[in-house]
Amino acid sequence: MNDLKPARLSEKFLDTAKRRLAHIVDGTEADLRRATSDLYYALFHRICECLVAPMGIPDQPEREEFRELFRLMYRLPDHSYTSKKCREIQGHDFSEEIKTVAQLFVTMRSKREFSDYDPLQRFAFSSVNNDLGAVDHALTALDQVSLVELARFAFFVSLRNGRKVDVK
Amino acid sequence: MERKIRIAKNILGEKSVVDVAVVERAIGDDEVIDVVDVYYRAGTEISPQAMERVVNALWLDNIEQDRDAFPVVNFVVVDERFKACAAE
Repeated sequence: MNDLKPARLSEKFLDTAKRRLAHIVDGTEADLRRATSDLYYALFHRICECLVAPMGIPDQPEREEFRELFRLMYRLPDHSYTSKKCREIQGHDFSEEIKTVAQLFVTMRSKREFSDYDPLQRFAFSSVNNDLGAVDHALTALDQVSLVELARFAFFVSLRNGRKVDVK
Repeated sequence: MERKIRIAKNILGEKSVVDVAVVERAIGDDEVIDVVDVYYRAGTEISPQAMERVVNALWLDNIEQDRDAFPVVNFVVVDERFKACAAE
């Protein structure tokens, strides 16, 4: 984070998945596996970005105190816990855009596990390409949701405490 | 299995869906999921919204049968079913 604005890694992972699939004519099964992993991390980093968005960019973003707090907040989500909370989200008061992302997060986390750790799992181009369409659509729709609700969602799936944060 | 095929056909179209395969898998420490492959005819347009509806309907079907397994669904063109890798 040397620039005033930190990179949006969710966009970069999504772009990387698009590039991998666009050149799949010369590709291998490994490309399909890496694209699947990219799509999961696009969703994961989008949640991290929702956590830090309310912090804004201070007058002196290079200050170490800010950078430390930024990193701390950004790294709050735990993959397993976030997935568990995303499964619970259907019964809570969140917009459809957020519920769609939560459901996709659970799906893509499982697919990412298979892509990275299961050598017997087979991947089809059409399936990964459909996943790309779904993640792209869901992340684009998320841009319509208010920053307040996005932060509420990110804290709901990240914080391990008993406080209720899904109250408007 | 007939129930799963019927669910997919109701949402994606009677002639679009060719077959559905379901495998139960353990993932993580104590979680069980259904890995569902929905095979559809080439040329069928499947929107993200339709995919989400299929996942929701399959999950609801599991819950109605007292199973909490979350369905992880792969939407695969049927021509790729028996290829080792579609890209190779």
